[in-house]
Amino acid sequence: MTAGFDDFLSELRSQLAHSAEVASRESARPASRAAHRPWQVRPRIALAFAVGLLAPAVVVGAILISSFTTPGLEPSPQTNELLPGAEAGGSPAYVQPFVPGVGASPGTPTSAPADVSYSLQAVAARNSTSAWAVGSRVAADGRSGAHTGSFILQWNGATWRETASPDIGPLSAVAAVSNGEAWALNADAGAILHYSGGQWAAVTKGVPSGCVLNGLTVVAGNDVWAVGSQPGEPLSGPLALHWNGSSWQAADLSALAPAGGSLAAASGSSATDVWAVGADAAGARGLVLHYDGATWAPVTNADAEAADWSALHAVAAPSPTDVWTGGDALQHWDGVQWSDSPSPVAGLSGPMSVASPSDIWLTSDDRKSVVHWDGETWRAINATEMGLSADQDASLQAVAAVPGGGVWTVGTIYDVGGLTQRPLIARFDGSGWRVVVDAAQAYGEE
Amino acid sequence: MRSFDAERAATLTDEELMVASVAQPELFVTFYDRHARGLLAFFARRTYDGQAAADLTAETFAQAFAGRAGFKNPGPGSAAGWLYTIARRQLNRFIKRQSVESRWRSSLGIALHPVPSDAIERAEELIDSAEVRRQVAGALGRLNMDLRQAVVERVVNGRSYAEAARLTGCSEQLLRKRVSRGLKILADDLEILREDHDRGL
Repeated sequence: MTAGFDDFLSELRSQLAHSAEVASRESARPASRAAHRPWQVRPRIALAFAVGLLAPAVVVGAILISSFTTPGLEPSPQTNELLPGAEAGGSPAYVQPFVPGVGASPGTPTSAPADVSYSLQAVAARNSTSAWAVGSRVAADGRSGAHTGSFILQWNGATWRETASPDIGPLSAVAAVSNGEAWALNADAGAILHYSGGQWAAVTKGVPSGCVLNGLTVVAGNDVWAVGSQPGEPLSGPLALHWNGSSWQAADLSALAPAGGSLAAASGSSATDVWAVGADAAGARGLVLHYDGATWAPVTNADAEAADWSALHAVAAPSPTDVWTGGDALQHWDGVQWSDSPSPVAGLSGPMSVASPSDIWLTSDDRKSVVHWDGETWRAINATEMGLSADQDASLQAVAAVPGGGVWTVGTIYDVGGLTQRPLIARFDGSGWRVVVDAAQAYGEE
Repeated sequence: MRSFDAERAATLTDEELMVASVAQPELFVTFYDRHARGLLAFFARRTYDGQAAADLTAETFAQAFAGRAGFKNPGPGSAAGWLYTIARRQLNRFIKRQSVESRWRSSLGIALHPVPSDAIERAEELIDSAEVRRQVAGALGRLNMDLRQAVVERVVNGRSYAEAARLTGCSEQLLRKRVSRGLKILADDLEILREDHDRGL
């Protein structure tokens, strides 16, 4: 009937049975901590697995990165990351991040191998000479479950190059503070990276273990918000973490009622005007919160709620009297009331990127277009308009307006039939779109 | 050590299996046997990507196994509902991020399992286009006239919202709401997209 799937199902069954057997053995030992945490009984195996996936990516990645990096640029800071608890063989396991140029000996062809790559999920820009694109390393065979390590590209005004970072898993959001400072997130792991002093470092202090962090907004260097949901079940409650310049601290949202829900995105115009949007406890209706500098309070929208207001994914707040939210549709707050705004696409996805009140960008929910507010209307721009051919199916994951002019978008190009895919970076320079990185390597099934 | 009693396991309901599997993890395998094919079909119909469907199935069961102590038993059908709640979250995440989470599999040491690239084509039962057409026609017929007209003009005939609004004599804003509501009702009404607890492949 389904030979390919039958093998898979029977293999998965044996692996689950093995996990059950291990858990059973552990639970038979009452003194063992693992008895209460059966899913943590094989950390070393999991770790060995993770290291096994990373090692080839480290070596081959060093070679591939040179294919789109201008020679002669200073290499990014080279650091050795110690994987916590990585002592399976009795000695610490070091993973060396790959660095442009390293690994490609003279005479080595610079064309990239076809079996290793990366995917990009988020982008942020500070000005024309500073931008970040983040995502995940894609391990050897490029299969969908193999998005493993953190991956970061930095734009220096002339080229995109990889920057070494600690590995906190796939990155899903990034925000820039200045040319020398930025933040990035792994949403599911609730993990945060901070770029400062020329290098990325993981920040864990003040971040609740097990939380989910979806959105980031920078008001100032000492005023950054990361929003998501409380540890536990998804939608277990909104979470807003604040960076005061030295540590993260969770805001008190306990007074919000009803309990539950999750925040997807945040945007602020000042320390006393920050907005966050998401979904209620059932995941069906929108949740809008506003911070006035002292407390977070829910914002109600009776009209929208009557019209089956759906979960919200995006928010932009250029000023207290100019706020946009995006979900199934676009809505605008003018300081007095909410109004629906015609959307050129059926659903919207965050984050919204604001260059000015008349220059706001986000992506469509189906990732087929970026959507732009020019001060008058919202317009969708698809990948064909960016210069990709009609037989290339692109997924535009994120878009960032460049303050001072220009736009970046990052995503993935799927070739005919969707059998191969590769990363995409495109740029709007004020007059037209140009594909900047359409990396030669493809991953996926050939 | 307790011994695994397959005969006893077969007599337990899904909910009893889940609750008992906290102390006797082997019972989870019986729960897997009952739901693996249905869950794989659930993902395959929605992704039309054999590897993604397999990875999503594995990750969902790994998460369910890891979190089985958190299952509360409010009554019959709740264990399958709980499993499919995890599944829907994994699916939504996959649609949004284009990658399947692997942390639950990693935490159990479960390896990625490649499936042949044509597995989904060979599983013809997964996508029965004639049946899908029949169900879509039926579901469209059950929409009220306003919603049906809005969905047909916008989705079937591919007109712009503005054009469809003009043709159906309503504001563009109202048309958008009708299309959105119509599609939601359609999705709920399509048997082929219902949760496939007992369908198997």
